[in-house]
Amino acid sequence: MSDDEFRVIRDSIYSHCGIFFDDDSKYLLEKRLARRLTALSLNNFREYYHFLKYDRNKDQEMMDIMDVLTTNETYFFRESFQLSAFTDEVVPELISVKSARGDRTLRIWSAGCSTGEEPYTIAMLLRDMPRLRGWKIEIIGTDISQRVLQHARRGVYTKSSFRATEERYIKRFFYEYDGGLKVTDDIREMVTISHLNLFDKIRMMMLGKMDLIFCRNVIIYFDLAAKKRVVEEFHRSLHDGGFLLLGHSESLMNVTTLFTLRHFKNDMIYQKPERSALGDDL
Amino acid sequence: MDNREDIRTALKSADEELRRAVIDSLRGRNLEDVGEFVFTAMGDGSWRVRKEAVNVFVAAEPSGHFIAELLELLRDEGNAGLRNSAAEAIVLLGARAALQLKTLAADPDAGVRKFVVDVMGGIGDVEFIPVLLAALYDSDVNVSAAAAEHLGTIGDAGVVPELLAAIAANENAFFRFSVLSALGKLGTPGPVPEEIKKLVGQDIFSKVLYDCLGSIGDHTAAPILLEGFLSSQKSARCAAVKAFNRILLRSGAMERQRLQGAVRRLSGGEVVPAFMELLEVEGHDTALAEAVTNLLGVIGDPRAAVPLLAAYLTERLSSLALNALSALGPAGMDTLREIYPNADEKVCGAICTLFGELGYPGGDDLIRSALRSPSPLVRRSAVQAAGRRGLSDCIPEIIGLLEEADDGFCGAIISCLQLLAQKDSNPVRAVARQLADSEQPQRRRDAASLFAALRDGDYLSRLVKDEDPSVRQTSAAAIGKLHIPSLQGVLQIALVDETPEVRMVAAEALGESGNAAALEPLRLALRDDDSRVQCAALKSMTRLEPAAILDVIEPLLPAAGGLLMITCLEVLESLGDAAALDLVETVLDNRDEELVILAFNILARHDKDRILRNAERLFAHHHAGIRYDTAVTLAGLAGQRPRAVLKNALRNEGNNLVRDLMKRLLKGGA
Ligand SMILES: C[S@@+](CC[C@H](N)C(=O)[O-])C[C@H]1O[C@@H](n2cnc3c(N)ncnc32)[C@H](O)[C@@H]1O
Repeated sequence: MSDDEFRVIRDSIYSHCGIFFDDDSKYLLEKRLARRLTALSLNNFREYYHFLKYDRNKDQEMMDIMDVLTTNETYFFRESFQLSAFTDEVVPELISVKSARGDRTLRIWSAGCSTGEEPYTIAMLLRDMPRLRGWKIEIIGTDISQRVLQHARRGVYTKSSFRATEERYIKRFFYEYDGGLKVTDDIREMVTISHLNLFDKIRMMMLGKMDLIFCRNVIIYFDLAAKKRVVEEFHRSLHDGGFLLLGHSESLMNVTTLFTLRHFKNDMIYQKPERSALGDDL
Repeated sequence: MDNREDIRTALKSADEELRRAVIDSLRGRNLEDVGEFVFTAMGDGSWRVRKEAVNVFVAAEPSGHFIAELLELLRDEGNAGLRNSAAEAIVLLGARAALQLKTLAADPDAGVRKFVVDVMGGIGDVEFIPVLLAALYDSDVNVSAAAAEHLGTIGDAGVVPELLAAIAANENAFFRFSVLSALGKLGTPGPVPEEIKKLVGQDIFSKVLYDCLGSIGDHTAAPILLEGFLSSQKSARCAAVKAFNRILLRSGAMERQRLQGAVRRLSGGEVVPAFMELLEVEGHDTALAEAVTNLLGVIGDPRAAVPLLAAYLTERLSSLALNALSALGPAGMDTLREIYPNADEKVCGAICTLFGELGYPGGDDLIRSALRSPSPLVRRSAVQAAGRRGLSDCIPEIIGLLEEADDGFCGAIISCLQLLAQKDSNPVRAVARQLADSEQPQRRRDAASLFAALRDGDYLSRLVKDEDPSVRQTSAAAIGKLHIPSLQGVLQIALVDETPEVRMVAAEALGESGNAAALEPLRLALRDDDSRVQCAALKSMTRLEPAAILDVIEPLLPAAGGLLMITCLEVLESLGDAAALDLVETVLDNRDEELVILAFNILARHDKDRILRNAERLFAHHHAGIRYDTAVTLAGLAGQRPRAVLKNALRNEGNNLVRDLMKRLLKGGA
């Protein structure tokens, strides 16, 4: 891959999904895309660039690239201290605020959910909260990679997904299936998996307003401009007072000041400020 | 070839191709010089040479004396090829030969007169009718019969009274035969003429007489035709049956009842077996098979059930036979039930289907036992029939069949269970749950269909999250049909599915929900990158809030392409009011001429004045078809202005076809 080819291909990918490869990552990109060249029977990256730009199937190819480029690593009950903050502090606060207004619905979005462990984890945690009985709970998991969505919808997992899962959860919410463990129906029912590119503003608006967004270990691949753009969309998607949960190594420092950082016992979490004392949007 | 001797020699050559080429080389030459050769060649032994000569002769636009000479050839007794060529040439000359032909009509030679009559028929011009009418009374029966025949082909019904007079006057059977068939072609339906009644009973005319009555008779022909049903000749019987059926089909309600009453009296008699013999379901005479099928239904004799079942099994007679079988009532069905035990699988399957289709309670037990038939075909028919008959006690048995069923059979089982779900939902719900857990997407799709029939929104909202897009699609569609408000959110999320088909169905379903809250997500779906989704969203928005749709369409129009634009135009046309048509007008500037044509047609259908108002830019359009249509539309408008605009446009029009049209329109012709 020549430097020129690298730059143009990198830019196409960036404008599609915000994932940015700096000059040092040329080798990485080249190595990953080599598979696509073989798959498409193309001779070199120049041809590949033309394909991306002009071919009738270029949109599909972008989708396929996403399958190759994104790191989909994930597992159940990842980042337990953050999840404790979620169940012990954040959700109870939402319950109080919302039920005070007579609203008994909860919408949670797992953006960049990969193979689905994160949204199902959220569902299992909420299922265990007596105060939510009778609430309408909607958990939406989305990802840009089609391959992982298929897996998420199916809900069948093998060992590596369970590295942080306590036995009691496995006993309650999984059953043996097809050489793996399948999530039970009542948990799957709480979760809807859907396709979404975080750079597709329209689709993001279609999802409607959320109380809480998990977007963990996704925007780390984005450059600053892309991060900014996505986080601002999250801001718009949240009800006033809603929460944004990023991965533990991620922060909004130097990205935006739209959110306030709340200090909970177990973790620090971003919140969209109430517009007014009344918070009439929530 | 110039040398006359050479030509003459060449025409005598044994080489057919050489002779033909010589004649061909004379094309365009003056007949005064080469007529002799052309005539010679018209009598050549090879038809290819003769044909060439006829063409060369006609192409030379021969003058009077050549035509006279040509007609003289008709006298040539010795050379049939020559006479035929002459006749062919005259037919090709058509009206140009008319005058001379008429003078020959009184030729003393009967052979010539026959040729003249035939040629007149071949030309088929009404100008010859008086000559042909006179020829009906020719002393030679070949001539008079041919005249009758050709009057039939020329097709002027005004000659019917003369034909009737002639049939009464001339007893020659051959002649009468020809007149009857001519009458069959010409007459309009009405009471049977006296002249024809007199011919009834003469066997030799039966077939042609019945044929004729089929064309020109009304209910008064019924007694004659009923008699014909038992005629000793098969061809006459067939003709009578077809004629009766034709009359029946074209009669008014009252007459039809009377006719039906008349045939119904044949029930139980000897005509029914005769009819059954005539019913050849695989035969070539379609009209006959249809007539027999129909009449057997009208007669309503249960003995006909078996042959009608055979008709039901052939595609082209199937629906007619179904009606007929239905008319036989329970007695007919009983007959079928009796033959069932010994019938082959095809017939057994058809019997089950019929019992389901016609709602025959006496067949229910048979359907039940057919579910256990060793033949898959019979089992499948039985399943369908059980669904139609609502035999909910069969549900467990039908579910059992799912195990070994292939895809087609599964489809039948699911449709059946959908019907039965209304009668007894519990067992159906149990299978649906089982299917929902299947590894095969097709089975889960079946589950969605069943939950839809059960109106079970809970399960559908589970399946709409399925890993297989086709299952999500089926479920979303079903949710749309059920109008369950609590599932609105599920559909909304389906709008961001990665599979366009699912998004499209979700957009449609949101429109069916009738819930105005869907408008906002649909508005966003208008910007989907798949045009099918956009179109579905637009249609749904139109359903939900027609009053506001103009505001939605207006901003779309400048950029909308192909499919979306077509949908916009369809919606605008359905609104049809002035504000909608204003928007349609803006499309006239579109770069895609197909879209301009579409917009043009809408305006032309709803408000032609708008075409006038936009005429100048339409005439400036590069697509000639648009200019053509504009011209035609303007010409249809009253007043001076359209003409003035048209005149103006003519000045700038570059395309000959359009110019010609404009000139004709301005002159007042079409
Ligand atoms: C490492 S996984 C994180 C999974 C999960 N959130 C967790 O923390 O365990 C990152 C996911 O983000 C997805 N992703 C990357 N760019 C995206 C984009 N532009 N839009 C949506 N998803 C994206 C990838 O496909 C990948 O599945």
